[in-house]
Amino acid sequence: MGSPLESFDGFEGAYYTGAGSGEMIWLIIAIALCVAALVMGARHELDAYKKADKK
Amino acid sequence: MEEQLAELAAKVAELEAASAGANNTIFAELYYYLTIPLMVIIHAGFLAYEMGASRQKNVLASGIKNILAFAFMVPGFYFIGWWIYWAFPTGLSMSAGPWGISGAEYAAFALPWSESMGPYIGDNATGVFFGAFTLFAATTASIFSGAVIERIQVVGFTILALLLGAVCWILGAAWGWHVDGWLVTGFGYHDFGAAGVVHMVAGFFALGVLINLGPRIGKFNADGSANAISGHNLPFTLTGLMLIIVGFWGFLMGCVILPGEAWSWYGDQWATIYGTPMTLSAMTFNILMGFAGGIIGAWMFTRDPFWMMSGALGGIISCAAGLDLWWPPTAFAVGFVGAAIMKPSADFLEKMGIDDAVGAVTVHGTLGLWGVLAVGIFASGYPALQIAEGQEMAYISIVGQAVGAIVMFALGFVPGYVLSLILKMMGLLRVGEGAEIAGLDPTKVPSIAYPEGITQSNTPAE
Repeated sequence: MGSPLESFDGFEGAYYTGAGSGEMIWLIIAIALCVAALVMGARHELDAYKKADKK
Repeated sequence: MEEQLAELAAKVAELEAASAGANNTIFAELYYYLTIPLMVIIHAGFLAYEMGASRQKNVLASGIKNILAFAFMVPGFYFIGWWIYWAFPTGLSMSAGPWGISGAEYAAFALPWSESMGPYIGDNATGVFFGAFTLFAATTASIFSGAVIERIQVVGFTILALLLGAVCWILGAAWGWHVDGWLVTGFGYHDFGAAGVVHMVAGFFALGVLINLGPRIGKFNADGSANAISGHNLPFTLTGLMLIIVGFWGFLMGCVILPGEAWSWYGDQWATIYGTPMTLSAMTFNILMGFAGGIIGAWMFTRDPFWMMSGALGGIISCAAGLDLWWPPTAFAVGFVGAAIMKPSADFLEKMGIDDAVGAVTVHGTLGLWGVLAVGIFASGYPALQIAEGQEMAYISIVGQAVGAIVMFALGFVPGYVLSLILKMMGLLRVGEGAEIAGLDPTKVPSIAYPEGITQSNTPAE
């Protein structure tokens, strides 16, 4: 990770953090975060509905 | 002399390159400053529209659902949607089309691990073009969102919205809103302002979901007759609709290819996404005429401000597929007829036991269908695309528009119906009865919409 370049002088191309080395890891992390948010959201939601049904 | 000519030619080439660079910058900045922010305003509008149409006990839950759909759409479209658009225009084979800007090989730049999908010195355009398409995707989710308020689970809804925005509509766009799309090259399908690829797909996706979701408690009586369930704030809904109209100027500008940009066919001519010439003047004439026709038609047939503002949107949607071509009075009439269709369409759905809380199936599905067919009825014979060398020209026709309409209907309805059925079987589609009666805000939202005012709903079902 970190910088893919040592100087911007005359540089052209991808300059994001981890260019050429870390894309797949961060892509998987981003997907996993989305899935985790949905799973936890569903748990919270279903619990809330159960409580409402008991009232 | 020859030396001087060569020098002159080199200078001209240099100037042309500089001009192309400047045009590319203008394109990127226009999208960055105008198109994308205006499309975000569409979402402000849908948020207000949907919350106003909800009863007080559900207003924040409706807002959460709408905001989440937008938020999840961004990574969802980044992960897969953008790639689908470039990979599938010629069909499921993922082969390259006549212009060579489609198919698996070309689409590699849009894969989420590609270097083009991040900061890249020398490329100002990819991110902003991606952004505009992402906002189109989010718009499909917002269209669907309003139909299902007050009884759908938020996670089930989000999963459905992701399928709609990151897969279904963009597949429709690849097929019918791309110069290499098989509906365009094979059938001359013309859908300039996305009446089919956005509105029909989203509207009929909502219909597929509504069948499995069922109506809100209290919507229908035992004899099948329907009750009106009023939202808690009609002025808020009307304001939201007007904001959507404002945002539509950005949405429709997102359908235009600017001269001189990387994807453009021309250095000095605006074009449709099919590469056919068009003018901003045409678009302005016809958006305004469709808008006016929709409002006036709705006023004439309903006298109801909700339907009048829905008619404004519906009038534009009715004209959307041919905004680049209509004679403005024709656009007015097409918008007017669209508005006239709205109420009977909504009443028909209600008679069929469908509870579409905001009329999304009607305004986007039915009027999107009308808009696509209207181009076939009144604009047949135009060349449908800019052809590549050796490619055969396709022309706009009623048959091509009908084929496109069938495809867009299926791309929306079938996935919506099937996935919502699966979610229903998994217990992830509808909220519990207790929560629906008590209200979704007190059940699961840690905030209160109106802590100091506005009377509570009269009855659990009202």
